[in-house]
Amino acid sequence: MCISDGILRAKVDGELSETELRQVEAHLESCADCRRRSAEIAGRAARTGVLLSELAPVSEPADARVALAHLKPRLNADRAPRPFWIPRLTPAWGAIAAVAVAAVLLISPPGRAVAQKLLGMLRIKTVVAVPMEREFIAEGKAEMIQQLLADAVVKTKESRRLTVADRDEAAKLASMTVRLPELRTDTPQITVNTESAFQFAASQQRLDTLLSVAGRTDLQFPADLNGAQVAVDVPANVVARYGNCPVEDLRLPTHGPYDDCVVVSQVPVPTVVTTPQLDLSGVAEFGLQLAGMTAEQAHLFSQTVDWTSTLAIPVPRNAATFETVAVDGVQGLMITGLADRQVVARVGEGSRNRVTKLPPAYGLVWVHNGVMYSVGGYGNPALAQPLAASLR
Amino acid sequence: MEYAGEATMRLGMSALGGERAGWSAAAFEAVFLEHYARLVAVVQRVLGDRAQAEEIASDAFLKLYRQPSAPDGYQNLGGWLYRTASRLGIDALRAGNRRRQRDPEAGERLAESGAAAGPLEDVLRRERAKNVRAALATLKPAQAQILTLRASGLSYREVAEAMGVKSTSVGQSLARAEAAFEKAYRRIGGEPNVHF
Repeated sequence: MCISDGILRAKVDGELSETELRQVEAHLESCADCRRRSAEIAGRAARTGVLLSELAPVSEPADARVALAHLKPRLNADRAPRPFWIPRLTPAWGAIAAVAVAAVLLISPPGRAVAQKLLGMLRIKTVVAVPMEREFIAEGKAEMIQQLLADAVVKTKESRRLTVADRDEAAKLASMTVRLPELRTDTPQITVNTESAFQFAASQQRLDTLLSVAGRTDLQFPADLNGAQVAVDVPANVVARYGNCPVEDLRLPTHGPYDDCVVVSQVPVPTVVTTPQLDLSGVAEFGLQLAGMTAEQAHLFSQTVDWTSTLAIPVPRNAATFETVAVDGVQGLMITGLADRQVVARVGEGSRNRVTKLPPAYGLVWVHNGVMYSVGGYGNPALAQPLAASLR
Repeated sequence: MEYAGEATMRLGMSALGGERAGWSAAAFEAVFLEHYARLVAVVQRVLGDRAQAEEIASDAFLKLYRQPSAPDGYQNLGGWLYRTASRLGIDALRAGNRRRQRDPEAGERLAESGAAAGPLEDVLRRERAKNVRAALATLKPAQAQILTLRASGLSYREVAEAMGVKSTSVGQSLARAEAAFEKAYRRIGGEPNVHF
């Protein structure tokens, strides 16, 4: 019986076992036809090998770490990204969820009869910046925590996004007064997000998982978190986009420059219902440590804030600057220099993704008369305050 | 070549409870760092374009990340990645080849090799590489794939894992692919103006 081409080819590459090799060689000695085929196959393999070796890359090996850094923003980009300065008050809770974790885990002690009774009510009155370690964001922990939260959350009302013709329609749909910046004379694209609501229950197991995902098993969560519930209701809200902004739909191409992009959003402050006994500053300290603060820093920071009425906005420590500014008759938070945001768009043939670096962004956030406003954009940050002041 | 990092990765997976087909960041990172550079090299062979090769390798990882369930139960991630990336590369090569036939200018980028322009040898080498790629583009994708993977230094076992076949059939597929390649290359070399 003659030897198959496959075996003869494997012989060339030294991929035969010793036994196989002995058998093949024995046969070749006695079979001229197989010898001819063997030579033919070996010759072709060598010629092809030489030709294909022409294709060997001559450049340095690719830098996997750099590539990984570029890939990361795309990993969880299935959903359309929202500009960072619009507070995300949905179950997806926040681009960087750590401090929002503190806000969400407003819980009651287990075992107590009150555990299921939602008695306390928070009304957000101010916003505060929480400096976050960059590594926390870079390692993708925030996404995982967000995912963890999303799994634990029960949506009771799903928000829908509606495009409306003008301010009046938006006001009617959202049942709120809609204020727009008079400084912009161009027509905005206005969308209304309908009301959404969700509930969250903390359990020992979830909190343990949270800590292990965050790599902070050294931390202890406040004992009164276990078994508790929180309910959040986000009223209908309005987003107005001016100029050329990065598109949110990843399937569509997006093209800069975005210098004239301004996004104005307004949402009546969400209600967070929980029990009054909970030590909010304790929960906040836990969240801050999770986000990378030392226990001492977290303690000092949390003492300065009234957590029952404050929305914490995480700001990457090295990537952005923030300051408190006067706006709309209250104290607002101005964030500038967030340069590391990237947008993923599919362009061209084969619709492969491309990562586009966005110019530095700014955002101004404040709460006025029970409505949380934000003005953000990619152009000149000095415009934020005049824009905010021109809201009518 | 051993896929040594997969143990790390599986550990990371079970740290998450093992019930969800999800990735821990550390696990995904380990897999990425282990395979990325070699995947780029494989695709760069096919396309000759580093930037495009990097993009395609990243796309393969993105696909992996978004798999609804574990490919091959995470037992053979390296194979899965090679299969996906080389296939994406060959698809891109074939698409580029079709474009070039319509519009010869469009091929410029594809024809670049990593070496700087210079001595005659460079020019000749580039011409040969161009013909080799043109020949690969006319093969059945699976044949172009097996040739590329083998030329990238994968063992028969690794090629088999990547192609989803038995390692005993690799020799046979390789022999056939080489015969088809030689035919295609001769055709192209004989009539140099057909594709360029």
